[in-house]
Amino acid sequence: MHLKHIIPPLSSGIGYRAPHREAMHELRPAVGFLEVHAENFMGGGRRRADLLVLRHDWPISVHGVGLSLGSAERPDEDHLSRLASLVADLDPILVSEHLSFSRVGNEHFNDLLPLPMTPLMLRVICRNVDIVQQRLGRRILIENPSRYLSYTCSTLSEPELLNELVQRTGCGVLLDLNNVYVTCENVGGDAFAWCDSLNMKSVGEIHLAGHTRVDAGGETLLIDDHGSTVAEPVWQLFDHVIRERPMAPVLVEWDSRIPELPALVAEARKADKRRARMLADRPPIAAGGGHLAYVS
Amino acid sequence: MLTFLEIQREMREAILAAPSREFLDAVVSDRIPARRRLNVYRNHFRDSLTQGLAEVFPATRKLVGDRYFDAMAGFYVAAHPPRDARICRYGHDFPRFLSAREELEDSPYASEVARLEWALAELRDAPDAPDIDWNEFERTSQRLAGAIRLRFAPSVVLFDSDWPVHEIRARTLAGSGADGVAPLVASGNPTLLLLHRDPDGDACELAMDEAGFAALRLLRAGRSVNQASRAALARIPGYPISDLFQFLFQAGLVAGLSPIPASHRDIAKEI
Repeated sequence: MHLKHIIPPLSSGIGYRAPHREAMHELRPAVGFLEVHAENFMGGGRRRADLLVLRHDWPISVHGVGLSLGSAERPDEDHLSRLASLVADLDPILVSEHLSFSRVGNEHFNDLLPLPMTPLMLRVICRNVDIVQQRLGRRILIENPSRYLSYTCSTLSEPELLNELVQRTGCGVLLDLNNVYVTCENVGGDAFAWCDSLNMKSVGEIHLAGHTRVDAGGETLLIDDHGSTVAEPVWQLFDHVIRERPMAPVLVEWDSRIPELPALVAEARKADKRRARMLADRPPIAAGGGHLAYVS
Repeated sequence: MLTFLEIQREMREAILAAPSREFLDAVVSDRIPARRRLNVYRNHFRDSLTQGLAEVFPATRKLVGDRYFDAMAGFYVAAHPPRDARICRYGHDFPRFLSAREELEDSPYASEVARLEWALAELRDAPDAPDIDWNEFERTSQRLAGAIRLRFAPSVVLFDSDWPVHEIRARTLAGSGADGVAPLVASGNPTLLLLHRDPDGDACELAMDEAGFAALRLLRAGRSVNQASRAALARIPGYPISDLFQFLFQAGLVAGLSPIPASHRDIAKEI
């Protein structure tokens, strides 16, 4: 079947999660697109069937969390095959993964573990991104994860590393602004400067989400739990970045303490309004700088 | 200084056990010590997988008690890291892990309920497969005089247990406490189930008699339709085996047919 999917300009997307299954069909929210975690849909049965129905009404973005692109090993062949099958079935508008590792040998750690920012790590992740892009036959986006630590051996900044990764592999960047803020608060650094040093032309998607604050022996640590509304400092980062990348697809994620669907959609609307306001304050965009579209 | 690969291996140790001195030195310690920073990853690993196990094994958790289950899940997570990136596929060995616990010696059916719950979790997520039409089966079966094998869909599971785990699980999920389960345990009825997925993707648990289950087992083992039919009829003369075959095809549970080569047929008869 041939579907033409276009993300409506200025219409943010939402992360599709199982608790919203019924509400999606009942309320049919006018959101720009849906993003799913690839690993939740790699099997068959109802979940996969539901997604194949949803894709008729919303553009779908596939967001992986288990490829472990920063692992010293090559990507797991079985996992990559399942991802390739899902991508072939859905023909998604976007496919993304993370700048992290989660696999050591044959063991998976169900997390986005932090990488040392070194030239060797850059070579490893370039190799793995190349393997994935060749296998899928398409460009993927790489997301900056939230980090709770940094390594003494790191010699590159995260934006430097992402810029170089884009340059060498042709991939794009999924800029998660909540993660930028959480990482900078946790390991030090200025979130605005972080964004300013990233090549904005490489940004193919922007993520927004909530975080929480926990006490770590009298000091505050921010946890990227995707369990609340977007925090004000992250909105300020969004205002800053969206001027540079006004037509980028924007997605609101909410993965824990998941609210009713209207609350999630309201958060996406908030992103739409802030983007519209920023656009109104800037010079008109040249024709052709338009929204993301594809034909399958 | 640790190498790239060593950092990844040390992170594994920090999550599953404790960070080494060398790894702590490799992590920046400033206002928050490295150990506390690493705890975020260790705690997330344990909590998310324990929660994942609770979602896969809800009846088992009720049966053994939430606190005991969570403690066992914690031990299991630390000793058996996932071999698959999909959290919904985590817990394959958990029933066996429970069956080896001394504290559960008096309730051996608990690990059997866990085994049933794992089978249901697996079939819900099993890959889809195109099913074979009944007419095609009839044509092929007649042409080859029943010398054909059936390949079940990946979502088909044959489940047997010495305990009435199907009823124990249902009653536990319905809110029965130990008193409600005790009569079932005392009955000692074994379980023979054909588990599969309906067209809506819901798990179906079909209780089988011994004859039908024996036939299904042989089919799963690659024996011919003829051999499976004979096995059922040997247990219950006049057994309506064609009804069973019809059900398998109507429910979309057969994903493949393959002839048994003529040269193998005589051997198959002797076996």
